[in-house]
Formats: sequence, C-alpha cells, structure tokens
Amino acid sequence: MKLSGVFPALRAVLTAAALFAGGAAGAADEPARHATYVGEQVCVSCHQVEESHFGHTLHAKIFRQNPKNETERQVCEACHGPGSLHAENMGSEAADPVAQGGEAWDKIVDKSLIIGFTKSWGTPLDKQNGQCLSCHEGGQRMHWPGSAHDLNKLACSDCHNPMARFSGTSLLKKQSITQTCESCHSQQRAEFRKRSHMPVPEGKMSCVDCHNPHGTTTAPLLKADSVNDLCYSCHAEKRGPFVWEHAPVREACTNCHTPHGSNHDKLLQVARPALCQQCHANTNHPSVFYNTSQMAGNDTGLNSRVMGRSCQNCHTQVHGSNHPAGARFQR
Amino acid sequence: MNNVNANCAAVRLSVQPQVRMLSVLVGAALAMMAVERAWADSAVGADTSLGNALNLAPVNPLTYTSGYDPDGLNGEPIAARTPTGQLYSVPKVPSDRVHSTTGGWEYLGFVEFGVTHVSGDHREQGFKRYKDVGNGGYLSAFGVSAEKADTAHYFEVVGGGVDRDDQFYGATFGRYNDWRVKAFYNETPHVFTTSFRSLWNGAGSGNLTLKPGLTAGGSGDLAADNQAITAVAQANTNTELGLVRKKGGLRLDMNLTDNLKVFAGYSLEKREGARPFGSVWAGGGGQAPMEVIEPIDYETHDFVGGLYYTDPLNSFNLQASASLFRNNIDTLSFETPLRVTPGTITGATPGMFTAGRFDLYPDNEAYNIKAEYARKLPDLMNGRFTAVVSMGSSRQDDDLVPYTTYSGLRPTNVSTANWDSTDSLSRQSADARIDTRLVDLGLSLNPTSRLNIKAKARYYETRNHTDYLACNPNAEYIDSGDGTPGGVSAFGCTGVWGRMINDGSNVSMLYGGNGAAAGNIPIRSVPYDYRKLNTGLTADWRLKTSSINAAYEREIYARDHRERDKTWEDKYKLGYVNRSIEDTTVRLSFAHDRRRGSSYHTHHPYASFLSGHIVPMPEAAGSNVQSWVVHMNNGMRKYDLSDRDQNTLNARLNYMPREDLDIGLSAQLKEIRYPSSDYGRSGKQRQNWFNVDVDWQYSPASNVYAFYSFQRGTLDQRSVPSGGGTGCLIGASSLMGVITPENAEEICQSPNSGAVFVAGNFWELDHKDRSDTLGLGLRHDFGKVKFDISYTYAKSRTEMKYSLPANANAATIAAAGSGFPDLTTSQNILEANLLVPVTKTVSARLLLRHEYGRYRDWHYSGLESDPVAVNAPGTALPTAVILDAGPQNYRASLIGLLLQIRL
Repeated sequence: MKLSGVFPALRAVLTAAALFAGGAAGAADEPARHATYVGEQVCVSCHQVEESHFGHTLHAKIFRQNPKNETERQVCEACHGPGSLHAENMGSEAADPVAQGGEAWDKIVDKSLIIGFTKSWGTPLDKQNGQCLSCHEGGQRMHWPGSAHDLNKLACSDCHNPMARFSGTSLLKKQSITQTCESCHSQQRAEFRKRSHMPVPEGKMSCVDCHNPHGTTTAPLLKADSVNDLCYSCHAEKRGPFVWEHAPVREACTNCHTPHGSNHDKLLQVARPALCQQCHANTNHPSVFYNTSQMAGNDTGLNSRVMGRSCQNCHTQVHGSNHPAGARFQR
Repeated sequence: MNNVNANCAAVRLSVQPQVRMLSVLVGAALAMMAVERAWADSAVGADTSLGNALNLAPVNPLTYTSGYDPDGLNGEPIAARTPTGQLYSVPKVPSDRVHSTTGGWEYLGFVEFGVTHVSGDHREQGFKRYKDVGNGGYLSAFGVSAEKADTAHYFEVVGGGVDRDDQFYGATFGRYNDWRVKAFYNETPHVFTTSFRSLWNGAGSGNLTLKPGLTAGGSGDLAADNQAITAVAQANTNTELGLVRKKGGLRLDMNLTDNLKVFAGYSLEKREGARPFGSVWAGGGGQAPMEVIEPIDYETHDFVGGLYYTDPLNSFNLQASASLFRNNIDTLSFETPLRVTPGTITGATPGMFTAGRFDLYPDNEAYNIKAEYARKLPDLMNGRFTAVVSMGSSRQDDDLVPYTTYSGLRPTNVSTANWDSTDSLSRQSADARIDTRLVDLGLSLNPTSRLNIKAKARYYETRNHTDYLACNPNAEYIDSGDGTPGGVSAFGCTGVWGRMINDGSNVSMLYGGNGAAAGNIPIRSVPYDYRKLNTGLTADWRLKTSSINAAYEREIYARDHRERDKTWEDKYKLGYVNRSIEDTTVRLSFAHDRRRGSSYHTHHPYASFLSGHIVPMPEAAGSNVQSWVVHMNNGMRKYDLSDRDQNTLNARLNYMPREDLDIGLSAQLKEIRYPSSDYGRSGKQRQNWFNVDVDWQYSPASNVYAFYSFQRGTLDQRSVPSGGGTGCLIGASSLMGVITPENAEEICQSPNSGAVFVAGNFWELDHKDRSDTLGLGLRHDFGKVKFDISYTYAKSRTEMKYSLPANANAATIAAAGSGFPDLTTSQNILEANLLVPVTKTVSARLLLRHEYGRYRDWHYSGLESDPVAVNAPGTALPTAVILDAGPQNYRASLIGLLLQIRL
C-alpha cells in the first residue's frame, strides 16, 4: 500500500472515531473567558486562613519574592486563573453565599468562574493539570502525557497540595513521598512490611528513589532505562560486567528478586533451593528432590542445599564472578 | 523589585554564549521562544528521603514542633478532598516564632533532643536492621529555615539521628526561582545478621585468620576438627555482620533563562562492613561448604550533569552521567579449619589447603548519555511527538588472579604447573564491557478533545563484548587427545582448556582428572545480551463523566545464547476510570498478556562455550556421551523464556460515605499459566491482593485511620532428577529407541526416554504464600497536649508442600513427610507519642516504641546450637558449616524523653 493511501485512510478512521467520541462526550466545560486578574489582596480578603498556610510554600516564595513573569506575579491567580468573576459571584451582597451556606451555596456559587483543585469544585481534570503543566511541563515531567498515572486520570493535586507546606519538600499532600504514594498503593505498603524489604518503612528510602511518578519510558515508571540499570544505581558492585555471567542476573534482577518486599531472605521470589530449581533442571544435584529429611537436626541424609544460604553456600558469587575459576560462581 | 529584575538580566546576559552553544546542539527545531517556564524538579537521583526510623518524614522546620491547625486549611472543620476523593490532611500550624537580623534575613528553627533507652532484644537483627537507636543522649532532629525576602535568597538546614548510624543531614540554599544548591549526607545501616558465629579474626578485612583453637587446613582428625569448630562457634555467638552506607552529595540547579535550566551533581557513597558469604572446596558437588565473612569496603562516585529546555512547543532534556565503583578490597583470603580432600591433582597433599581465596567484586565504571525530546504538533490533531535516545557503557578491567595460590599443582593429564601464576591465564585483565542503547519514539494524536491515540516504539539493547577464554596458553597436555603432548587449539588460543577450581582442590578440565575428554567443561565466558522491541498503540477515550482506555503492545525479545532466540508477547489492556460518581471514584483495568517464542533448546545456546565444541563427541558403541548432549532435561522451560499466559484484573475504589470519612478499596487478581512447561514453573500461578483503607478525620484535632492488606499467592513447580536411567550410551536402548550419535541429544535430554532422566521420578513443589498486614492509628490534640499512637501488625506465611519422586527410597519417604515446615514472619510495632508544652517555646515529647518479631525459617532448623551439620561426626567432613543462626525472635522497647525547643 502506498503511504499516500495510508494517511487518508487513517485520517478517515480517526475522524469517524472523533465524531463518535464527540457525540458521546458532550460539550466540554468552559472556564470563564472574560475574567480579569484582581490581585492577591482581593483573594486574601476572603481567604485569610488559606493565606496563613500558603504564604509558607515554595510557590508563594517564588511568586512574591522573585516572579519571572506576569503569570507568576498574580500569585493566587497564577494557578486559579483570573478571579474577577469569581470575586463578583462570591461578593454579591444580595447572594452572599458564604452567609447562606448549604444548598444556597451550591445554587449561588458558579464554580466554573475559577479553577479549583478539589473534587467538590469540579474543575475538569485536563484544566487542572493544564494549569500546573503550563509552568511545569518538560524536564522530569516530559513523559507525563500517556503515562500510567495520566491514563488513570490522576490530577497533580491528587498527590500535591501546594496550599500548605505539608511536606519537607515537593509540596506533597502528605508529610512524605512514601505516605503520599501509599495513600493509593496499599499493596506496596504491605510488601514493605515483609521479612526482607527495602528500607522504606525505616525512612531511608522513598518510592521516588526508584520511580518517577510523573512518567518515564518504562511501564513501571522506572527512573532508568531498564530494571538492572535502576538497581545498579545503588548496587553498583553488581553491575560488572563479569568474566562469568549468570544469564537471568544480567537480564533482569527481578527474575529472582521482588522489588519491594518478600517473605524470604534477600527479597527473593521464593525460598531457595526451589528458586534456583525453577531454572536449573540439570543433571546431578540441581534437579534433586530436596526435602525435610535433609535438614540439619536429622541424624543422616543431610544436604547442604537445604541449609542456610542453600545453593549459595557454594555458588556464592551468583551475581557473577571475576575469578578465572568462577564459571560456577564458587570463587 | 527593580533590583531583582536587574539581577535576572545580568544572569541572562552572562549566559548568552552557553545559550548559543546549546541552541546549536539542540538544532533549529528548538528555536528559543519568549515564554515563561517554572522549574520544579522531582524524582532526580536516589536519596530522595532524608530521614530515619524516628523521622519517617523529611524534617520540616516550619511545622516540626507544631500541632494541627484547628482552622484546617480553609477555615472549615472538614478538609477538602483530592480530585480522586481522598481527604487532604489537616495542616500543622506554621511556626510564628520568626527572628530577624539587621541584614534583612528572617529565620526560624527548632531542635529536638533528649535521652533514649532501649531494652529487651534490641541487639537483634529484626529490630536494628535499618535503624540505630540506643541508650543515652540523642539529638533526634533539628532544622533551620531562613530567607531574605528582598533578594529572594534562602537556605534551609535539617538533620537528625546525630552520631548514629542512621544519621542524616540536608542543606539547601539558593535564590528562589533562580538557582539552588542541595547538599546531603545520609547514613543507612544494614544489619544482615546478629546471630553469626565467627571463626575468624579479621572480619571486614580481606584476610580471615582462624581464631585460636582451630587449625588451618584441619588437624587430620575430622571429629576433633568438628568439635573445635563447634566450640569456637559457641564461644563467638551473636556476632553482628552488617554494613553502613554513608553517602554524601552535592547538586546545583540553575535557571539560565526562563526556558533553560542546567544541573550538575556529584555524590560519593562509601559502604563498609561485612556480610555472610559461602565457600566450598573441591568439586563434584562440592566439599565442606562453610559460611565465611565477606568484607565490604566500597566507594561509588556518581557524576551527573545536564540541561532541561522547554518552550511552548518543544521540550528537550540532555543528561550525562558517570558512575565509578571501587572495591577497596580486591580479594578475600580465608583460612579453613577443615581438612580438604583434593581431587585428582598432582602435587596436592593432605592438609595443604589451609586457605582459600575469592576474587571480590571488581572495580567498574558506567557511563550514560541520554537525550529526550518532545514536540507539540498543534496542526496535526493537536498531537505530540517524543523521542528518547540513550547510550550507555559498563566497563570492568580488573586484573585477574591466578587459579590458585598454591604452587606445584597440576591436573593429572597436564605437564605444566603454572596455575598459581597469571601465566596460566589467557588474558591478564577482564576487559569486560557491555554497551546499552535505547531509542524510544512516541506519537500522540487528539482527533477530538475527548480522544487520544498514542503510538509508541521502544528499542533497547545490551551488547556484551566480554570474551574470556578458559585456556592456559602456557601449559600442555601430556596427551592432547591424540596420544601426543601439546595444546588444543580453538578461538585463537592453543593450550590447556578448563580451570583449576576452588584454589586447586579440583579441576574442571578437558582431559582432566582421569585424562578422558568431557564435553561439558566451560571453556569460554558467555556474553549474554539481548535486544528488546516494544511497539504499541493506546487509545484513551474521555467520556463526559468517565474514560475508557485500551492498549495493545507487542514485546519482542531477541536474546543471544539463551534457550530461546526470540520471544514475543502480546499485551492487551482495557481500563475504565470514573471520577464523577458523586461519592465514589472507580478505576478498573484488565490486562491479558500472551507470550510465545521460537523453538526452545536446552543445550544449543551453550554448546560453543563448552569443551564439546572443540572435542568431537565419541561415536563408538558404548561411549557415554551425556556430557556432550545433555545440559538439562528438554521439558524444562525457564520462566523468563517460557510460553506464558497472564491475566490481571485491578480494581480501585475510593468511597466517601461521610464528608469526614474515606474508604479506599483495592484488589488485584492475577493468574499466570505456563502452558508449555513440563518442568520448571508449571500449572497455575496466582497473585491476589485485597486492601482496605479507612481514614476518618472527625475534626482538625483528631484523626483515626486503619488499613488491612491481604495477599494470597500460589506457585507450582515440577522437576525430574537425573539418575536411575539406562544411561546415555551410544548403542544403548531407551524407551525412545536405540541411542545413536545423531539422536543422542533428543533421546538423552528427554525424561520420556528413561536414559538420563526418568519421567516417572518427577517431583512437584507447591508454594502458597499468605500475608496479612494491619495498621491502626489515632491522633488527638487535647488542647495543648498532643497524643498519637500507631500500631502495625504484619504476618507472612509460606507453605511448601511437595510430592515425592517415585524412586524415593523408604527412608526418604518416611522422613520427608509432605512438605517443608512453614516459613513464617510476624512483626508487631506499637509507637506512641505524647507532647506536653512546658513553656511557650519548649515542649516535652515522650516517645514509646515496642516491637515484637517472630521468625520460623527451616533453613536454619537444627543449627541453632551447633553450626556443624554432619552425618557421621567422627568420620566425615561436615555436610555444611552454617555459621549464621538466622533471624531470631525479638521483643524490644524504646522509650525516649525528648525536648522540642523552638529557637
């Protein structure tokens, strides 16, 4: 097929899909287009409590002490958008939604007049994230579009709360990166409580040591080009390359280890020697049936492969050996 | 403000040459556009968390000593919710104790210090694995923040755990929106065991010498040696083996223009300590395996530098990094208290093997350069194009050590005894190198504001250039296979092929111990590498109140020297997100992955790296050709290469039953099948999770939370031992016919032939994992007195049940039972804090922490009191000497009385 024929066909398919999608979607929410900036003093006149916290955030420091452009100079409206119509709406003496509260609030307040970052305010997600990305696009967020979190419709404000300095760094919604991630990733929180685990519950690592939650070129949002490159960033000694390599080690550390936590020693996927035997069906001892009769404490029939480090009692250099005699990882 | 603008202009002017240079690099497509850009960095580097077990969250000088704000974040008693629907936290009250200097600086700070006391089993590994708490004075945390508003300069210093092995410090200074320098120092202890029974002096060094009472090389009296080992071990119980990671770093970030940021960083990590290690002697399955102590003395230097550029249409990242790893201890020599019985080695005498030597991890370097580019395509369906190119290289060229430290040794069929010299090596240094390449392209189109379609292609490869020949070019066989002396030629080397192993206590050599040829001797390193291509299409259809996404991806692996040349996996995924249900947010996804591949060969990928490649397989009737044709049974499918079908269902629900209450539910059901695996991972593997989270913020002063996670996993594996068959002899009959040179590989690898493996003797092992994790927490501010308490309970259990092979003997059947004892771990942690104000700026913090951990691990059963596992104490070498007694139950408490002083 000629390329010239492919593109019209592709365009037709996309157009048809677009028409279908458009019909199902309905009209998009439109922000107030005619609002103008009113300045932070107007905002703070009503939002004193918010200001008492916001004033300590990095955003406030930047916007107030060293703004680089007109948007940043707007302070509150840099993120929430021009507030004139919102102020008008909320400041109407006749309506006075604050005083009336309850159902009257919902009837009087026009939430489309200013951008909010909470569930109840209802600003469309794209609009919310668009506000953030209008300044924060690129850099470590280059791969946000289409990333796992983007596809699952997370808002920036699902993890960040720039209205107060909850966290030491990064304007997170919780006090730490780990707490923020664990508010959704309960499974990983449980894994970090297992017998062997990364030192996350002890405060020495965070999820962001390995993952970039804003998107990368890898599906698990890894901060490196491959699993191994990521692991080597801390375990540099295992990087090698070695004279004698172990195939699954060279390809992916996760062939044998789980990344977060394990009920077994050394973050292993299953107990040794069973783990090794899932690949090694060689002749002689690798394929032997190991069992409780070979454990220490029995009078006879002992076998070193069911004790202690199991296979690694002998094949110690399982990550690779640089000894000329180390083809079996014994030196 | 005018001064500020002037400063900015000065910065911009000063960097024009750099900007021009970078513009050339980036190309015309990145023409500078006059827009504004803010830079916030995230996810850069490791060490993103400066804290410790008593400071789980990074120190925040602004609020560290504060209580929660009764006005919340917005004057409402109930916090707002995230767009997903989770309650935001209630903020702490910012400190109002701000000091000023005449120079215009304003600062605040705090310090927390006092005394701590630990009791119970606080020296056990379970308690102290990654933390260091003890008795005495303790400076737990401090922090100072300062800024000069008129120039936008600031600095912040935080730290904690002072003078402990988990101490941490961070300093940040710079100018808001302009430049920033971050420095950190962080120590992380990692205790591997506290129940090791050391037999040596010199732990942590490269030279382990036996403690008094033990004889290097053994005394010749096996029973006496075993007893001596037991005695010394029992006199040296509870030896702690662990290391401390000490890492410091510096990083500069600077906004050169509104569009362009540069950064550079350096870090140095030192790791020092020791960990359990294994050693073995001789060959044929090994002799007298014994744990030893590996020294750790590592340094890693990491350098990174790069730039980020963004304008309304383009984004470009460029990063270069170098990582230099140095092991300050090249080799480990260890004396053995055992009398090693050497193999058929000329020159070996009883008792001569007094010490062994390991070659430890070699120095290495890794370099990487990565460029990322993204461009919006507003005229092409509001599209976006991304491209990433990354190139890396890992290198290692350590000097190699000779096969043995003992002189005069030579394999029986070899005339030369140079194996203790580097003359015996085919090269003097490793000269190992692996290069990596990544190209990632993506095109995203938005035909409408509701529909996004993204196509991607990702290619990643590793190229292994390592080539080591196990060829001694300066040695000769007495009989090189044809009845004459000399060397055997292959791959450009003429010499003796194979290796002296385990310090010369045995050989793995072509024409080795008995002068006969073998086909399975490693003669050459295997340069494993692979190429991976991922191509895929994702559609995201945003409906008015929800969204549906669908994705297809094909992953093709091409591997060198593995059982399968190629595997391909088709991945289908369907997702649904609804954030607009009034009280609920729902996220659902289902993924089906199907992996298949080219023909599976258990022997071919390694054939050219084994001696069978240079020595023809004998074809005469009666010749045993097993070592030429059998690597493992041909029904084995290694799980990283095997056919695999995988279904994964993920569900996540955030429910808001009350305005002050969150309930989060999430579940994963995963099923994996290995349809073509007769042996290896087989049957059905399951990994299922269920989690529930409850967060009740019934007032700004109070919060209750609870979580529970349940995990259940199953995994089956199957294997068949060798032995008990008719053998792999040319001309012999098998259940698959008469073995000939042509069909020997097919028949002898197959358990169905009954030649080497006998199918009926298979055994199966079923793993069942269950984990339960429960967390409860409460905090309440009783006016100025504040209280919080948390409790975590985690328990994991692994059952391993097996079926016995048909040829198991009566004794095994009687003793083996139906499985290993369950592996279990449980841990309870209770922590409480009571904060009582003493003065306006001083509060007293009473800290209580109690931990209770229990472990049952059959790997260490029977070794608790005596590390020597021996079948016949008076007549045999030990089956193993396991000096680590494994994880120990513990019950430990920490109490601390700390003063928090707001400066």
